[in-house]
Amino acid sequence: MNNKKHIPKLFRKPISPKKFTKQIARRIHVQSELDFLNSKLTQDDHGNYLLDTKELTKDDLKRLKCLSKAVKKNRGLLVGWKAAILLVFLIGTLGFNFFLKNRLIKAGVETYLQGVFRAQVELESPTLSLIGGTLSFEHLSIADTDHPMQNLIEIGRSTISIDIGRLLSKKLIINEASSREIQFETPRSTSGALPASELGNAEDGQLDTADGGGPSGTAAGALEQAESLGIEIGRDSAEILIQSYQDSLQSPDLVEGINARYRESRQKWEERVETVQRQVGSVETRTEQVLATDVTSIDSIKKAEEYLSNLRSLKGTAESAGETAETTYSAFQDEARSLKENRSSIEEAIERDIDFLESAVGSFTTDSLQVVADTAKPIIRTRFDTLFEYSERIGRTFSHMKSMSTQKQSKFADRGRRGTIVRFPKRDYPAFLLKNFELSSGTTVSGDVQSLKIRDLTGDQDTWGEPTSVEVSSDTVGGGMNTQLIIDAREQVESLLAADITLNRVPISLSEGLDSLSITSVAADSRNRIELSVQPDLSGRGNAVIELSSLDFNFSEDAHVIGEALRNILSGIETTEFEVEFVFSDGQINSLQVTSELDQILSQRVANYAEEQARVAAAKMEGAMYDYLEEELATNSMLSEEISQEGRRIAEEIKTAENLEQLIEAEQEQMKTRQNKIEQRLRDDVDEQADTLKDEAGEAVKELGEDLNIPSF
Amino acid sequence: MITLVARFIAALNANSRPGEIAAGFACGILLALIPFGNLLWVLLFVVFFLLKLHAGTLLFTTVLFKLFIGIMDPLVDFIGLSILTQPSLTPYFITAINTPLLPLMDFNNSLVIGGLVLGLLLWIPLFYGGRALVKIYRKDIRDKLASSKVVKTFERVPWIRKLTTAIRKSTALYQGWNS
Repeated sequence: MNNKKHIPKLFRKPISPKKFTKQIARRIHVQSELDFLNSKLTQDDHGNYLLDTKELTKDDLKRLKCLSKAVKKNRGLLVGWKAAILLVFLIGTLGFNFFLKNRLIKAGVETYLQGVFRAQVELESPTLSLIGGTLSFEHLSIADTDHPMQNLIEIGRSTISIDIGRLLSKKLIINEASSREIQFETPRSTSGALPASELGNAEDGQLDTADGGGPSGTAAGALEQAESLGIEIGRDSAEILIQSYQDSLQSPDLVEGINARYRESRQKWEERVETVQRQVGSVETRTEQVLATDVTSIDSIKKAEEYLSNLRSLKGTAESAGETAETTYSAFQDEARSLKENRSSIEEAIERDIDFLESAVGSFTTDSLQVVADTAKPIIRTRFDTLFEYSERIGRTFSHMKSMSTQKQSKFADRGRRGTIVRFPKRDYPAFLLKNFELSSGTTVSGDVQSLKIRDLTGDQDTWGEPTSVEVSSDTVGGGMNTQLIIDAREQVESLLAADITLNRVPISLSEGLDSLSITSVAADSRNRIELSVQPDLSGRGNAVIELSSLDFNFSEDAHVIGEALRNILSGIETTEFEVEFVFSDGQINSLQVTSELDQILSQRVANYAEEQARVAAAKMEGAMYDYLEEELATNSMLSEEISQEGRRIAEEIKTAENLEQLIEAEQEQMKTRQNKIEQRLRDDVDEQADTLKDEAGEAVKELGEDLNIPSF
Repeated sequence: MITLVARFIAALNANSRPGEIAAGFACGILLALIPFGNLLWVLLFVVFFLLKLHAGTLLFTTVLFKLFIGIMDPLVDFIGLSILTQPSLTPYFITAINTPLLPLMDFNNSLVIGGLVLGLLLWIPLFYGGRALVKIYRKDIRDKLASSKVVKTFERVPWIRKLTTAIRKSTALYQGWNS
């Protein structure tokens, strides 16, 4: 009745007891289902289980199918398809990692560089680690297209390693960026010219990479276009940046404003002084007129009173003129004081501007980047129209999403469940850090090796906690140089820069520049070691040890006195050692102490010269600082002088007024004396006349008495 | 949610391995104990997804226990704090906090570390207990429950009917509940 095709595959063939127990019964976890299966199975002579197909109904078949699927499903600890996904992912990752990745890098880099340089490029053993963020290679050689039998450049073991984990938190930490054994124009054993077919491919590749890259459509064309765009952005940015810095300076505007006030004040005081002068002049004229009166001609009280009244009036006018002059002078002093304060504010503004310019040097990179970004935006918008629009839109969407994600609480976050956050000390990283940078050229085989090593380069040393160190070394067959600089810009650190410079077997040869000493040339081998420590205020001290050997001085024939003295001093000296200790500030050497065998003779002259140079340099610096304000300051001084002159004029007028007052007062005194004298004389005349009259009256009475024979007469 | 409940009930009644359901249950509790929104939770979820455990039970348990797990927070917080403030473990935590990506796990949150530790400690008893319960249910309760009047009355309720339909869909592979 039932076709075998309808029976699940698991139950078609006889099942051994072992298989039934281990692979079927163990995987059925519902007792009723197991009972059902057992009821449908029979055992043959060998004990194998067989399905009795004759008695199976449709429902039984359906149930058996489900059971079969369940048995399959309950097999193993892994889900097949999930395990397959994982396996494919693992195999893909490992396969890509071990077999494809480095080959792809090699092919990609070689093809691209061949397109750029149009010559053979060989890259050996490139290694890329996506998780480690490392890309390195053992050797790279780029042939010279014009000279196929030589390399344009050869680079030895090079590595760039970026901290991918920190990159996720928007911090660019470069663990290592190094290129060693860089050599130029080295010979090749095979020709570096590209075959014609590869040359065509390379050009095609370049056309692809320089998509829409200008009329030439080549890498060179794209580079030229990028360069011109960069120049355009750079030029505009520089102009804007300089303009912004100029706008930030306070002193030029302040000086102009204060000079305008000076001019206004000068005009005002000129007018006011003239008014005072006119007033005082008028009093002076009147005084002269009044004082010209001949006092002896005044012979009556009335005239004297009139004259005195004139003098009183004149005095009042003189006093009034004096008061006006004093008030004017007081107001002038107030204004002069105010202008003086303004003048000191100019000096303060200049100091602030200098501080600003010094700080601007520190923030120049940040400012210039911002300005470049702002300037580049419209230029790039014009050039890349649609592309720019799209990128801007993507940027906006990203920013929007970011702000939404930070503003809104994630719907996946457990609401109301806030645990206790335990803060562990976490090392903070700066936004940019170059831990190790190394460039070296030449090989030890050739004997000429130059290297530059930079460690812990960052703009935020306080966060990183380490100073930046720079090491430059050059070893040649003839000599060598090693320079170690430690730049420590961290707060509360005493030394900003510490330098240790060692120069070995450096040939010194001066063929000119010592004419003043009558020395035509000096030749020597030197070994120099300089230690330098610079404070944040650019002051510091240093120590230099200079060992000179094989000294050879040549003097001019017409040597003057000093030259002759030097010839005597220096001749016969083949080796010497100088130890120089110096202290400097503001980039100028303030004191220099040279200790050597030649100390007694040379130290004084060297120190004098250094001091003189320091003074000259300081004067030059000061001059340069005030140079651009010189004209305005000169005008300022001139105006100030003129204002002072006005003040002096007022003072003179006050003095004149006071003199006039004194004259008038003296005249008054004289006049009063005169009046008193006149009064006394008049009184005397009256008394005399009265006496005369009395005498005459007595005589007359006496005569009358005698005439009348009055007895008592 | 109905689908989740249906899948869970279907798994209980179908021919699925009790260990898978018990593992789903124990892992669900573990995921419920650890707060959402951190890398640890996501990693655990991905790992559980790759293992052969009952996903329906895992999700159902996680969602169900998330609603009530708050009452255990004082205990979880206490355990987490005890671990985080253990001086001998501090160097390891400092190393971990300074290692890229690890801070995304929020392990310095007492609920996260406490939930993880408590979840792992409870995992074995929950697994064995769950497996035993499934077996007991299937052996002694399932049939009685299926034929009880209470269940039949409930089956008439509209949303229960929806649930039953969903269960039937989920059990299409097996012959469980209605057998």
